[in-house]
Amino acid sequence: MIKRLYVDNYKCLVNFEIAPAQVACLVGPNGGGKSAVFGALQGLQGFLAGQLAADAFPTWTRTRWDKRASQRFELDLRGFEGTLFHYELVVRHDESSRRAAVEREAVSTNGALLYEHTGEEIRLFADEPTATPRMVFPADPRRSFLPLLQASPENKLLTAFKEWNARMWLFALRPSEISPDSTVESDMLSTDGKNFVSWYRTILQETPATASQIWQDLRPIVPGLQAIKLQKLGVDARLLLLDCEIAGRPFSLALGELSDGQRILLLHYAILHALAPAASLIVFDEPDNFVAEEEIQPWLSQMRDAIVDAKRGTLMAISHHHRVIDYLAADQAWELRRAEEGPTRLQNIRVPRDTGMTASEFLRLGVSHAE
Amino acid sequence: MPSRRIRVRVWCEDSEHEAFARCLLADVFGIERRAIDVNKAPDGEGAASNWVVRRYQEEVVPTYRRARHQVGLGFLVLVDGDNVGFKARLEKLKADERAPDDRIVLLAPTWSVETWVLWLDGEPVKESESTKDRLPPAEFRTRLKSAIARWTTPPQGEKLPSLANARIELKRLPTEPRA
Repeated sequence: MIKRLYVDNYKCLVNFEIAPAQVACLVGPNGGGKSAVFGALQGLQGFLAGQLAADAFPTWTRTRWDKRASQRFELDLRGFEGTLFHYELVVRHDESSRRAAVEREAVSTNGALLYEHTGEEIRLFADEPTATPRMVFPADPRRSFLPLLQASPENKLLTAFKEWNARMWLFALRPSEISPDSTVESDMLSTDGKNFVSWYRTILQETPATASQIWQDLRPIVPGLQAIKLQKLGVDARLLLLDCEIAGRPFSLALGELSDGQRILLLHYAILHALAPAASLIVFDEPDNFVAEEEIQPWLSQMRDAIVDAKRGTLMAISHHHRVIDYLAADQAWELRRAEEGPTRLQNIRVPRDTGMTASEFLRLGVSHAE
Repeated sequence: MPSRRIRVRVWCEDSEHEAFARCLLADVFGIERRAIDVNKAPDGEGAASNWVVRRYQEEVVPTYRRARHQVGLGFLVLVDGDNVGFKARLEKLKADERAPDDRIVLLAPTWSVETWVLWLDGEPVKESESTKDRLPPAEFRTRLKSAIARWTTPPQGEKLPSLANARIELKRLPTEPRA
């Protein structure tokens, strides 16, 4: 569960801080900074998975009007076992060479360091708070050491932190990008959903009951749907097919023959059943794209329930759609908006409920950001 | 020909209300999730019950008047009775102005929906006292399922007036409880 995100000197986010509830919606005009929040989280996810700092946070992501060379990112989160972690990362950019390096990276709990990357050396501390590290060795300034850290009895807390990060999922699904077939299995679903079939192969292998749940939810959306199957195309290649039957006539549909909305809903329900119960954080960028209005709440309500029932993750949705905003605003809504090309300003939307207005009606009136 | 596909639109105060309505409609009346559309009060200033009352006056009644020819469509409004009780809530909603065959269900659990869940789950409660502290949101959904399973045969009998009234109200739904 994410408790706080702080970002400074990243795109339009300057000294930006958000403390989301377990379920939250990010709203606001185009260019307000919603996608910058998504991008910052994506950068952190990539960096903590082994990406170079220069790839996770390219120099051009610095705030354009800000001359400072360093970007700062902080995460406060509650791990699956209830431990409160604080993560901070400072990335220093060299303008002339366009190189980015770690200036400081640290993981702590209750103020006690567990891990520190000084840019020059790595310091690993024991789970029990100590003033001196149990291990010190030279660091690669271009990247985090955390992805390389092996789990051991001496670093259970850092392992728990890594586990949290491994279960962070960010999605900006693009139906036209989804490949209809795959040659490999994958245990990760990409942000745009492109490798869905590769990931679905793993689901089918490891948790066939999950595949059955996906099929159940998709039945009302794909008329005549009988089964979702993988057809062998070669030694390794598999093609995803949806077997259907209408008026006694069986036929198969490839992924590319589904509508954009049907493909998105297939992925939505797959994410719901395969990832949500164990997720630490799920963020959807415009989950309403391509989806019929009446299909939004059946999925979104289940997604919310899955996150809340699991009591371990956070659900955030970035949206302009009134159905998403009004449904999630019962939990929490944040408006991100920029004033005259300045940095993003964040406001918790508190609707005056005596007026009977919905959150989207309230936002349309513009009173949330009026002087 | 009017459609007989059953659908229910719900207006309620919060996510506990939503969970209650969905569980009741699914487990007692067999109405699937996709056929239920929920409108919850937003996070904000002021009482969520006031939001529901305003939406009832400004959205529920006018929408129902326009859509009453859709015989499979029912409306359900859920608002806590709190300290004023279910009768006062129903008066505020002008419940008596509904025609006997209007498919608008008004539920006003008193003190709150948590009171009903605890009662149905076998715990002693009084409508005159708040039970919110006895059933925090984190525990609500785990107790809800077993409570709704006892909807038709409450273990402690029918001693909560707001609950007894709810059973009468639910006859306005466009469908019967499952056998």
